[in-house]
Amino acid sequence: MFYLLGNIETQGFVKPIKNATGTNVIILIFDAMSARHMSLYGYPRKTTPNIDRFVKTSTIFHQHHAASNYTKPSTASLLTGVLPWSHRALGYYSTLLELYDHANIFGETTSSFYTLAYTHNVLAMNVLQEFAAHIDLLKPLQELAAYNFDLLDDFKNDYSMGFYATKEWSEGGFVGPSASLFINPIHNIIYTLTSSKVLAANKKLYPLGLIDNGFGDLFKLEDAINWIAQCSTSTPQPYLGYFHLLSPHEPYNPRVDFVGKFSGDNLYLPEKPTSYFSQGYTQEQLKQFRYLYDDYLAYADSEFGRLLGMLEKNGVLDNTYLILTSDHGQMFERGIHGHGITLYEPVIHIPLIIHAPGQTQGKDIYSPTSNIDVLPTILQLTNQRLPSWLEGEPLPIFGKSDNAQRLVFSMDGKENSKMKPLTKATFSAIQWPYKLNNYRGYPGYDNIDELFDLNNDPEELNNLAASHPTVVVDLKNELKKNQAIAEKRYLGHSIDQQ
Amino acid sequence: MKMVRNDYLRGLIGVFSSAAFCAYNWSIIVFLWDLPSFLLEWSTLDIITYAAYQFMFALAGSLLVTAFIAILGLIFPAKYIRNNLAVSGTALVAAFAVNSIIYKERGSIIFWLATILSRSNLATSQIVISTWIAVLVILIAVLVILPICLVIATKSKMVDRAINRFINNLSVLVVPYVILSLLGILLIVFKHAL
Repeated sequence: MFYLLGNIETQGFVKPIKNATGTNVIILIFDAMSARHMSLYGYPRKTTPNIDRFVKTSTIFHQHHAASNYTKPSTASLLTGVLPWSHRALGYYSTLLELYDHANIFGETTSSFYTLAYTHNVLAMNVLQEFAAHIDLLKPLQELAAYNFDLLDDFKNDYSMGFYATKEWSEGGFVGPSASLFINPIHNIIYTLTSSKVLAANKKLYPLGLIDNGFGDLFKLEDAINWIAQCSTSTPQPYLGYFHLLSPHEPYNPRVDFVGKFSGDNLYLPEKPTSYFSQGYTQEQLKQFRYLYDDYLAYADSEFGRLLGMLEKNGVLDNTYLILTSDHGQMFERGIHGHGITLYEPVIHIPLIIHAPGQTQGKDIYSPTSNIDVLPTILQLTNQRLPSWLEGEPLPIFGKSDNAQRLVFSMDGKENSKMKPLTKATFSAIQWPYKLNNYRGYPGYDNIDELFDLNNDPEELNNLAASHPTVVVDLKNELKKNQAIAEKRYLGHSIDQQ
Repeated sequence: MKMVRNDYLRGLIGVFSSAAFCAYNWSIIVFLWDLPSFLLEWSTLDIITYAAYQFMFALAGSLLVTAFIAILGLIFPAKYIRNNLAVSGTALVAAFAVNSIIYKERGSIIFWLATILSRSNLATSQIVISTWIAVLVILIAVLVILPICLVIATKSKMVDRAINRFINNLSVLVVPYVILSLLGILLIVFKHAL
């Protein structure tokens, strides 16, 4: 083991750093960024010209998938290297199993990096707060907010319960009404009247509004980008930074120069059958949402380009791994707008682009990968042992050889008990070129299978389950086997403590 | 003078009881609505802590409304609020509670009105208009509904007696809620101190 020359002081105490490579790592998340909407992944609209430029000197993973279809479980998976059926942060109110408070990217790299994190997304903040003991700088969400009005800071020592309680009374629940009869309307009146002044002041540049995380905070993407650029040079090195930005998550509020960028271009996309989970949106409504999302995505891409320029100018990329990815995608088809509902490709097929220090040539990886592979990859890059509890693997090129037959799983199980086996959930198993969607426990939709050939049918239009029963059975058996291993593990086994 | 002050205090207690009755029962209903989700995820201590927070906010809300009505009582001529504080205060509490229920998330009457009035697809416009509608409803409650309730109460001794009896019963009912709130505050302080 090598020690870097000198130590790094954090919070008044000396933190020894053992990092043989001395390189930094930046993980940059753009929330709800779907690979299916990015020009570099073949989308007909030119939504990501800056990211297109970035991949010329980076490794692009063409079949990278999220572990779940909305922020909390997917972020938890990225940061722990295990699937949701293991960490159990399945629902909106969920916390991870206690063992993952230490078994996560920050806990495992605490002696290798100075760690810092920031997010706009409150659900991501819930997850980060659980790991706070191992994060040297967890920047409060509101410090980069253009407008903030809540009492969350007052309950920060009891973040999980304090958060849910204050959000329930001030904002209203994730599903139902707010729990406070009198304080909620007072809060809403004060919030609306004061925030409308901020919105009016910014109306010229942001005519549709500022980034709104739905929990009383408004942001400008530029502020976070500027802070990340500043951190990249001022943070003690080597550092590991996790930055989770809300764009292009709805509401779609791009800067004025991106409003209407793609409207009226008459892009044709195949109409798909309505899903069991349909919300009732028509094709025309989904088309309009898609325009707004693509405008917003282009804006996010533009800000990424600006960040990239600053990092290049400051020489940061010479000794930093820059990992660009998302937590999940976004859907505009089958009667559904958004995410958190199904596991079709627009929702779980996410970008992953990694620039290694000094990389000058682009590379392409086509085998399936998962966002649970990010943690083991970083551990591999810093010459650390891979704990036995990891379900992810080091990514091809960065530690493991390309495996076209690798199995990748995703799941959505919001309505399940944290402490019991899964009974109502959607699962996805990908083994190239096949993808199985398996639905269990839904009223009138139990044990339903969909099988798609992603190579010949990337739009998932033709269900091959009836004509390929052997493939279905094999993939289902793999699903059940891995799920059983995970559920047996959390019921009794302890993680590797070394 | 002393008797007037005692009546006023008694009236304030009546107002607080009415506010607490509405606030706590609403919190309990929503808590029970959410409880199946909580049981999937949280430990018993977590659920108790969450309930403690909600009771604390219910207490705070009740005190705020009581204080607001007390201030209104000082601003308006005595015959409108101060002279029959328990009845007028309860009428206002009821009006605020109804306003609060209809000024909730999308789907409420106020939000539906706002959507029509804003003539815009922007959620921001709709939310701002729905907020102003809610403020207007509060003003209507104070300037219109309250006088109507007072006229009814003063014209009918039977109604006046029934309301006062109801408020007296409420004063007993909310005692356990307040005690639970105070215990909840202790729990929250303890958790923060850890």
